[in-house]
Order: sequence, then structure tokens, then C-alpha cells
Amino acid sequence: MFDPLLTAAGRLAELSNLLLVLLGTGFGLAIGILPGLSILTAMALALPFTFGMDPMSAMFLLAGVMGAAPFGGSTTAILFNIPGEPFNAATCFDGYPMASKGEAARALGISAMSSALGGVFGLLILLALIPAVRQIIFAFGPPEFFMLILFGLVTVAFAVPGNMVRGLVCAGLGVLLSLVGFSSTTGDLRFTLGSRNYLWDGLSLSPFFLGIFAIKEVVEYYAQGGSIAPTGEKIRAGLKGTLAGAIESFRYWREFILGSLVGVVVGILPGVDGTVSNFLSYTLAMRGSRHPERFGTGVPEAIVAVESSNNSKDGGDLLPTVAFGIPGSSTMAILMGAFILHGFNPGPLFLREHMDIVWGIILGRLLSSLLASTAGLLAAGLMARLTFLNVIYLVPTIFGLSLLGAYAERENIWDVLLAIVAGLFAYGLVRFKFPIVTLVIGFVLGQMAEQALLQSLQMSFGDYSIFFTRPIALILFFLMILTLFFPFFKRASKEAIP
Amino acid sequence: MKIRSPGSFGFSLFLLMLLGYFVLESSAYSPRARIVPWVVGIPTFVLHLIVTLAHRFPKLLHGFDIDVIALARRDRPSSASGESAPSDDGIGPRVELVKLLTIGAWMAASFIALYLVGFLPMLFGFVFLFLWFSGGISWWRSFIIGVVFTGAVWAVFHTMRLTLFEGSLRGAYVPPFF
Repeated sequence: MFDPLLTAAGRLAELSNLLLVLLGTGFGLAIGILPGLSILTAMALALPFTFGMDPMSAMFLLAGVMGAAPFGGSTTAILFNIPGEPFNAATCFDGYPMASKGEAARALGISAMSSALGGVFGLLILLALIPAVRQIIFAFGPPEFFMLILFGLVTVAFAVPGNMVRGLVCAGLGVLLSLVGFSSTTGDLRFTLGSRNYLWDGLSLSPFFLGIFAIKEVVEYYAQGGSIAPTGEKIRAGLKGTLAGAIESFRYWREFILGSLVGVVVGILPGVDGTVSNFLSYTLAMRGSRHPERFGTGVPEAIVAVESSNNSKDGGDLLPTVAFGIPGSSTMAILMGAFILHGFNPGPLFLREHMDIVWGIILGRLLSSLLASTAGLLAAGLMARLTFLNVIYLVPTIFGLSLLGAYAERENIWDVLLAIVAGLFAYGLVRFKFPIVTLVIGFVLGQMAEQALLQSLQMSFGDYSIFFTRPIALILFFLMILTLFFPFFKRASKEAIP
Repeated sequence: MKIRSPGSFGFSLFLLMLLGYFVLESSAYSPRARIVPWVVGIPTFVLHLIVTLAHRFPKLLHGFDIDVIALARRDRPSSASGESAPSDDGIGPRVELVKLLTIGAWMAASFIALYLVGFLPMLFGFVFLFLWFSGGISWWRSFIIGVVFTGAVWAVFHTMRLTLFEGSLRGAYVPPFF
């Protein structure tokens, strides 16, 4: 058990490998900060550079990218209300309000510390769960996945500020939008308005996401004017504010543990997007708080819950990847590509035969997460000052970067048009009090839900009772019903109190 | 009862038509292909119909509209339906509409420019002209920002060996939409 760990640690201590982790970290941070260029883009760009490298060194470079990108995405979520990745969306709820009050440095400090500790926690849990992972993963089949996705959608609609009915409407709309294009499960071409070329593959996630968050924000900046944070007020900027935020995050250890556990559990389940863990941890933190009404106004514990969940899930999604050769996420799918590229055979024997590589990835991600958080702490003060800039400078620059990001993934100009249309549509949604976050969640999870549903019906020869005869699926169904109707019961009981 | 916010009502109608499209279009697909569109689309349509009708009859939404944050407050919660009308947020609706149309026009023009001449000329032109005309920034400062921004983009994409769209007028390939 310890020989592979010592081997990996010894290799990490080599100067060349330390530099590779540093390079991967810097690249991951830069990509995470840029709207539209996701961790997938960063991994895909870094992968060719590993040709010819020693396999362990290659893993250090990729681990550096993986460890840093989530924090980069949180930075833009806090400063500009533009999440770098879908799983950074919940960070906007309380991170951006804090930045709007001139406390961006404090928010970044809390985020940096929670990210670092969440990453460590996730990896420790990963190690502890390796013996039990087989039971956990094989307990989840298509019916359980379908119910988990439905539960996730309902929870998200519950968690967003505002009213639940509009949240559910947007979630449903997001699911419907995800079905546009050719369906590989049914062979039908759906909702393409006659387009057999561009819309064959459906609405691409990256430009859609960019439009919904970044371009929508550009329109809001222009409409509102001014600056993100109020100027002329004495606020805590700079390193002092950042460090105060970092230290403050230790006060919310309950939210940290809860968020980290949720992140690990969701991360373990293959194919379930990390966005679900983001919102689940936010919702649970809100429900367990003594002052849930303050969530959404800029409370530190919300950022702690969400950020720890974001980074701990990275430990979780590595587990099925190395234990079974089942990628826990899209990022892990690229990592598996790297394994194959370097002559490894991902599968159930990988853990036994290449434990040193697994340790190398774990230690590399740990170091990268700490480096990214440290860089974040040091640069937070400087980045926070961007919130005092007149937004007129941000409008063309963020718009330009968003168009570039929309184009970069598939080099298709129609993706740029999609981003613009999605941005204007999202502005309308936000303006008239529809939560766009549930739209994005529904969009991300929609196709997964359909696939799981159809696979379940195939397993049961069309019998819908499969969702109610399997224990885990049934439990998830009841949790979903409880989440849906609990607010009505609570309101009724409160109105009954004289 | 008069509709308080015509803009909100109009947008709700648009969403209702969009949802109606998904539901009706699904009837043309095979049974397996229309399960999820109907299972999700029909309840979503019904919920949104209630939201839309609530603009005219606010009491319709009273029983369904739940604000979970309001429920967490110590005082007696009120229905969130009263909050469904958009707030001004400090600028009048007319000013906001003008600004929305303006930024929409800038975005449309930038896409047309991108289609014709490609990314680098479009980016420089957009940053320079936007800051100068819409932003009220001096022409030389806008010019410098435009040059620096476009130069940085070129440098990053050149280093990463990613190609930028060069514009249909310069012979770049535009994939078909339909």
C-alpha cells in the first residue's frame, strides 16, 4: 500500500515534475477564469503536450489542470456573476452579492480556503472509500440515476431564490431544450425547425452556457451602468480582506463537512454532473442554517458549502474512473484517454497494477488545489478591484471573450449566434423573475434523464413500476415528493399559527 | 383587473408559445421519442399557463406560489405572487427598453461583422467603436484598449495554435445551418 505512495511522492518531489504541476495549475486557473473555456478545453489542450512524456509526469501536468480549474471558475462567479463552469453556478448566489457590497476580496478568500480544504477532504474520503466503492457504484442502475436526476432538478428548483413554480418551469424548459437534435436512443431528429446540419447535434452546452451567463450579464451591465461594487465607500480590499475571509471560513465547519460529503457522494456516481452536488450542498446548507432567509444576500457559509462541494467531488469522480474504468465525469473521460495514450488499460485491474499512477494523480491534484488557492489568496485583492471598474469597460471585453469562447469549442460560427440569442433570452428570463440556473441544470441533466428513463424501461420491458420496486429509487422518489410538498406544508402550518 | 406589467405578460406569452411548440411537435415523433417531451413538457406547460394567467388573475397563483426564503422568515409568510411583477431597479422601463435595443443592435452588428470579416477585425472594431460611441470614452483611449485587447487575443490564440474565423469575405468556410 505504501510503496506506490512513496514512489509517487518521490517522483513529485523532482523539480521537473513540480514545474509541470505548477504549469498545469497556472494553465487551469487561466482557463477557468476565461468564460467559455472550460476545464474540458483545458484538459483537451494539455493532453497533446503529454506526448512523449513519462506517464507519471504526464499525469502531474493533467492533475495540475484538474486541481486548479474549479477555483478559476469560482473567481468569475464571485467577481462578475459569471460562473466559469456549470458547477460554479451556485457560487454566484452569495459570492456575487458579497462582491456587490465591496467584499469581493473576503469572498475570494473564503472560496480559496474552502476549495483547498474541500479538495483535501475529497481525496481523503476517496482513499477511505476505495474498499467500498464497488458496492456503492453497482447499487446505482438506470432507475436510480433517473430518480437521482429528478431529485436533483426538484432540489435545484427549491434552492433558487424566488418562487418554486417559476423554478420548475425553467427546469422543464431546460430539459426540453436539451432534447433538441438527433436522439441516439430513439433515432429521431427532434425540434430542429428544419435544420439538418447545425441543430443535428442539438444545442451545444458551451455556447449555450456562455450566452445564458456571460452575455446575459453583459446586457445587464449595460442596462444598469455604474460599477459592480459601490465606489466611494470604505471596504476591505486587498490582502487583509482576503486573509480575513480565509480565516473566517473555518467558522463554518459544519457547512464545510456537509458540502464536502455531498460532493464526494455525487462525484462517485458516474455520469451525474457535478452541478447537482453544487446545488444540493447549497440547499442542505440553507435548510440547516439558523438564518436561511439570509441565503442569497451574501452569506459566507453558502460559499463554504458550495466551494467545498465543488472540489471534494473531484476526489469522488476519480474513484469509479480508476476502480472500474467508468469515467465519473467528462473530465475523467479525458483522463482515461490519457491513460490509453500512455499505454495503460483502464479497468478493474488498474488500481491493482498502477496504484502509483493513482497516487500521482491524487498528490498532483492536492498540490495543484493548494497552489491555486494560494495564488487566489495572493491575487484576490487585485482581482477584487475589478469590481470597482466602470462596467462600460467590461461590456465589450467580456462580450468579445464570450464570443471567442463560444467559437473555440467546435469552430462553428453558428455557435456564436446561439450564444448571443441565449444571452438575450436569459436576460428576459432574469428580468421577469425566472431563475436561469434551473434552466441550465435542466439542460445539463435532460439528456441523461431521458437515457436513464429509456434504459430503465428497456430493463423492465416497459413496466414503470421498476422505479418503485427498487429500494434506492423509491427512497429518492419519496425525497423528491417531500422536497416538492414540504414548503406547502410548512406554509400551511405557519399560517395556522395565530 | 388590468395587467400590471405588459412586458412581463408578453414574455410569459412567448414562453407559453415556446412550450406549446415542444408539446405539439412531439406528437409527430415515435412513442419512445415523445415520452420525455410529454412527461416534462405537459406539466411545464400547465404550470406556466398558471403563471401567465396570474398576470390577469393574481389569485390563481396564490395557492401554488411558494417562496421558500419567505417561508424561513419568522414573520407570517406571504405568497410570492405579489413579487412576480418586475421591479424598476432604479431605471425606468422606457430607458431600459432603449438600452436593451441598443445593446441588441450592437450584438447583431458584431455578429454580422464577424460573419463577413472575421474575429480580429470585428473585435477591434467592436471594442473601439463601442467604447467611443456608447461608452463616452475618448477616441484615443478607446483605440488603445481596442488594440491591446485584440493583440492579446491574437497572442493567446496563436500560442495555443487555435484558428480564428477569418470571415466569409476572406474565403473562410461557413458551415450550413439548415
